[in-house]
Amino acid sequence: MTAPSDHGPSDRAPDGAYVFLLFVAGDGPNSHQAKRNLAALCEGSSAGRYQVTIVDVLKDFDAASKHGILLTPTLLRVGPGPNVRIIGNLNDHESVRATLGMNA
Amino acid sequence: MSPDPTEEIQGRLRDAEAQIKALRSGQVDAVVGARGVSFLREREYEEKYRRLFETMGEGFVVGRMIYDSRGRAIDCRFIEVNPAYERLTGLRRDAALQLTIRELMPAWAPAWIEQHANVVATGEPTHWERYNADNGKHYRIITFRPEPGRFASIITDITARKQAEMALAELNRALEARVEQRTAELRILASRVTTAQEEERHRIAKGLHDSVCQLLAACHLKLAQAEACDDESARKGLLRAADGILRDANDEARDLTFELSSSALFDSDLLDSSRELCAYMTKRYDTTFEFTCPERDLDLPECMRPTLYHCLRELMHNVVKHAGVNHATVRVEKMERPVAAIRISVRDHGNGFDPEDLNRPLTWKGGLGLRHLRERMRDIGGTLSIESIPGDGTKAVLEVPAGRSRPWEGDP
Repeated sequence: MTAPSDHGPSDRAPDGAYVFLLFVAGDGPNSHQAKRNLAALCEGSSAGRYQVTIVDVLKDFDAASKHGILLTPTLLRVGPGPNVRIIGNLNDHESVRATLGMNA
Repeated sequence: MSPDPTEEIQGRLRDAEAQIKALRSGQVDAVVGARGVSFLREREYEEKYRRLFETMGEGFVVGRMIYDSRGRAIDCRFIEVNPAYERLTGLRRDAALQLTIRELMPAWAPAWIEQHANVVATGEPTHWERYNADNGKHYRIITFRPEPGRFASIITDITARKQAEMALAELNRALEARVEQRTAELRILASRVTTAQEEERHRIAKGLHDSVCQLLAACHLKLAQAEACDDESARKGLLRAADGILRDANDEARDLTFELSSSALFDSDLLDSSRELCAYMTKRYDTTFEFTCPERDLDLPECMRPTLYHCLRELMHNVVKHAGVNHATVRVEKMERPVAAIRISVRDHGNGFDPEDLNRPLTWKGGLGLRHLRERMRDIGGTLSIESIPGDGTKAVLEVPAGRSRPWEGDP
């Protein structure tokens, strides 16, 4: 897994790695919680590597428009496989893992 | 291959459902719209505060200070004014936002500017009260600094509370003055009671000395003369004279005893003792007291008899001393209306006096007797009322409640 970054999003990932874009709005309470939950999910998973990019829509509004983000926080999995998006603070780890195809 | 439109629509529906679910569960911070990012919580708060601002009962204003080139606060201007502020102060919102404080309220402006400049400079909240002579209202104002360079004030109309406080203070002042006056009166009355007792003792001692002692001395002289007299006829004459003097002394002693305490008061009810008192006063002084009473029985508690009797005697002595007449009437009667009562009236057509004298502050100069009687009557739940016209006589009425309204019997 690569360290979470709040720099500009990158959709390109190493082969087989999970690529996540987490869209947040500043340091709102749900955004903050989503970042913590995503880090915990990645660290607790045994499946491969993860590339996580934190996108702050207050700083990079265009990225949000480009990916059709309407609400924050929204987690977007851009790979592997088709895009999957989860809206909310990711508190329900079990449901999030199942949706993203991550193993505990 | 183009995507299946059905799947695309179903995907969008799933996204929409997920969005709604996240919104409902409170897991969303912001909405990303075409014109920017809008924070949900801030929008909620803003709406809540707007509603509060519009509906709160207190006046609320936000304003900013105006400074001169040297940084001195010279004026201030409102930025926002709520409807309650308009209602409380009578100032229209549009005028309040267009004009400065100096233009809006010239009389208040200097104090306003000083207070608000201090709050804006220090950030220390403050509160004070102001009276607006233009509309006769009192206000309580709390001012704080919501952000640098600005002030906010909450204004409450406290006119009703202020008026109640002032009325209470006035009532307290009146009560204190009344208590002070009453205390002075009671002090004088208490002293007067002591003086009256001394005077009574002196009068009795004088009576004993002037009448009984003189008569006994004369009797002693006659007996000494009789003892020394050889002539039998003259000696018998001296003894008869001594016997006559002894009878007079006996009568005088009986009168003095009556003055001290009427035996009738203890042996019979007030009706008989009052009748006897009239007969005694008529015999003793040059004034005829005509007694009338249509009742057979007054049914008066024993505890009230002495006070009523002594008050009646005092009123009759007043007639003798001050009225300057040789006739007066005493009437004892039961009253049924407006309330059951026993009434004793003493009426003369003599000198009279101004009854207003009794309502003036008590001094040592006079009017103590009737005030003392009034106090004694009050002690037994009764009253003394006086009707008098200078030159046309006086009517004094003693009245005590009878029947169920007697205060000493308490509530059933």
